[in-house]
Amino acid sequence: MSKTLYLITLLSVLLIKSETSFAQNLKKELGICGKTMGAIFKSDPKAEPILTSLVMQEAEFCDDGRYEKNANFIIYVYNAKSELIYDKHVYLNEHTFLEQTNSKGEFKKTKILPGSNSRIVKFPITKEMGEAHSYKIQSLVDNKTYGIRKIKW
Amino acid sequence: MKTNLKKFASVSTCMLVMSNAHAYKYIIYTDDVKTDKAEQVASMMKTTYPFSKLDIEIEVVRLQPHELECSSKYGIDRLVMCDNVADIQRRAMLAGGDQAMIIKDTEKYGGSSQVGGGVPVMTTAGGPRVMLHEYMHTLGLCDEYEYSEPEAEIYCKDSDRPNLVFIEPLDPYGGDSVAKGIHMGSIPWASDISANTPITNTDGTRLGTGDVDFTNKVPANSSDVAEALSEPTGLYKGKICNQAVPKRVSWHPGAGATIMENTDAGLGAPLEKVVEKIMISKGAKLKLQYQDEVEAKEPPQKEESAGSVVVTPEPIERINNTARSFFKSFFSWAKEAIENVKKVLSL
Repeated sequence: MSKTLYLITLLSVLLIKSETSFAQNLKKELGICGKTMGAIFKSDPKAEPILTSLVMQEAEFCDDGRYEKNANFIIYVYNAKSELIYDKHVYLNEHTFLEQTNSKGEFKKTKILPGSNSRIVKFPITKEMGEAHSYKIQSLVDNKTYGIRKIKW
Repeated sequence: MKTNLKKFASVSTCMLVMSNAHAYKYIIYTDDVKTDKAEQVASMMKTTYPFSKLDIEIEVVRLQPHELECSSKYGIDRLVMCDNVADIQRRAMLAGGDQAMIIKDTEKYGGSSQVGGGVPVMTTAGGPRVMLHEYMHTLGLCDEYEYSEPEAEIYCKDSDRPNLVFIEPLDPYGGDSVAKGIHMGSIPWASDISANTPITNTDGTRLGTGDVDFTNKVPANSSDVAEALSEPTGLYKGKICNQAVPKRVSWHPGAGATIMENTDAGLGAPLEKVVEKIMISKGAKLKLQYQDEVEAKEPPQKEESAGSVVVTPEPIERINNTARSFFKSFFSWAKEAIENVKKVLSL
């Protein structure tokens, strides 16, 4: 009996660590989707929005935040065969607020800068997707789509 | 036998939980030697509703002042901004963080924010709730205090926010249902307004559930239960763009002064709902004990599988659907499992 339980435990762990499509399907149900591709998403009104500091991390990542509320950008990720492998709706505020408070918690001075902003974005990349190779960003505010850029690792 | 069974059950559960666990992670970077303020912010975040019901993790990292590169800007010594945000975000990302925050050690009051997922910044001289206010900006919420003309000039041209809508009243209305028919579609928090809550007053002729009472600060909610609905979500007239030229009539979801007007105030029930929805959409998970509650409240969002969206035709838009049949996959997995077992045994 105890041996059976050992085997079940071992197989459960192997399944969770596994990367076959069967395991991936199961992981998807469990909310585990792929390895983490991390990036800094930068938007600047004077330049095209870009992804920088891209890294692939071994840590498995389940993306429960693929459709952010109030999203104003969509980031599309492609593999080397130019196949769309993932897309993510993200929100990035276009303003920077410099605010000054007093000891009563009241705001006394404010400066709003319509300028560049950035944020962390993460994508789950599974084995079947292939390596992330390029990306494209679409602004939902003006419905403008920027050109495809190759990922620089 | 029973002991063995318990052991295996707990080991399996731990392993599965560890494999799946992904708390929404905040990393607070500070050059404060004692890190007291960072601890206060962490504690405040964890105990403030709706964050208190979310599975969040907060790590505090101490850095040298030159690593933050924070300084006063625009000739106003209390307006602090940090130049090393890109590096801080990169550090946070590599450490598995979802959101970086900065606390600058200085005796001057104030807070600043690289808004919208950037890095919210505050100084050690401010109360911990300043950070929450700045982080609300990161989530897209707007201020609710009155902007001066230059700020109103910049901000009030924009479109609606999760806690702000610009509606020019068309008084008199022929009843509340008429006003709802005209305006509900443009109110971002319309789904939170109950059928019993009017968006008009004076017998349905004038727009607005009421005016925001800025003398009434809503209390901070440090429980893990939503604020009692003494303050129903509605359409309350604000003042943020009163000085815009031309003046724009602004509306908020809550009746009282919230943290977006004064950092000593709480979120209030309407903003709690708004923030909770945003956080869930960003991937923050509810703590286990609250998961059933939300599933019962909201039907699950229809998600498309990865890569199945329709976009403009360049480059070749093909769904990367290489999944094999279930049985083929199962045998493939079994083969991999056997290989892994072999590897483990050979070690």
